[in-house]
Amino acid sequence: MKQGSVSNTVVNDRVPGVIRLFDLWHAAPCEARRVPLSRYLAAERIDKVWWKFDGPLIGRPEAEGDRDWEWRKVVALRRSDLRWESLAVQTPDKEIQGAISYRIDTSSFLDPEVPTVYVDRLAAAPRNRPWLVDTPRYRGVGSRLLLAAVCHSYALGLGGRVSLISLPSPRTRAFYQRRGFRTVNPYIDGMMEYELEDQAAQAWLREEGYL
Amino acid sequence: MPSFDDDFVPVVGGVELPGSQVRRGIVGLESSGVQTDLDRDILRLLALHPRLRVRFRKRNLAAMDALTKQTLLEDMRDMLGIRPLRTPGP
Repeated sequence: MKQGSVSNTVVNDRVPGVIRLFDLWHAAPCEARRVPLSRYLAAERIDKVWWKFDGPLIGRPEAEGDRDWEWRKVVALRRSDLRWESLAVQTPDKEIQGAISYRIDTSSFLDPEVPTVYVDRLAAAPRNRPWLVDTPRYRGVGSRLLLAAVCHSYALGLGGRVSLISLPSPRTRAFYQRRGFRTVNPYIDGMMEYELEDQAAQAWLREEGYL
Repeated sequence: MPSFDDDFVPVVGGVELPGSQVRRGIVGLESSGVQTDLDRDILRLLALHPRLRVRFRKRNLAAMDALTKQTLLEDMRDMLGIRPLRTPGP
């Protein structure tokens, strides 16, 4: 099985699934769960602990774009609103390794008549960021969460299409392009619109064994 | 060991989506009060796909059991051409 793939789960509804990450500390695959992100998990397993580090740092936490995010507030505002979905990856030790929040009632950057899922927030736990910590713990968190949004988009009849706005750095661009995202419009502040069209999204789903 | 660059996912977020990117006419999702996953899936499909409303809107979800809702959901997906997603094997 591919590292970071999802197994033994129904993914065309909201049932939490099993996600296989790669445990870099033990150099072995590790099973985690995709779970709905509750206020409790956001407060206790993200806001209170994500920015506390045990080991040496190689980057500056204060320079991270999500340093000031309060996931509990994000979830609280959206939890009963079906336009939004918030998910997390939880490992057997109960820790949250990453989280995503997206909305389902948006339009494509490429064609306003075409519906899409818009990824509003996506972050791996800082302990899993290789540019930030000396010995990151898990690999595959972010891309699995992004794939969850693609799955949900497909199950909602939106073709798997997903759009987002992110930094235009070469590494960012390379990551999205490898997965078939198109760059759309640059923003004045340097951010860039990216979009995964139906065909590329379904190619990704086929590659992962969903279609 | 796999390259980190193969799996690099930057932080995404903090950018307010322009109002023009939000679809108009999507109603009934803001504070639905539904409790089950089936209800959520059905309501979302009804809201996102106007052509489903013509055929399915008058159904009363509160009066349905889970099996009936599951059948309704499958009918909706069938009408939209949504293939069931498989469960990838090991």
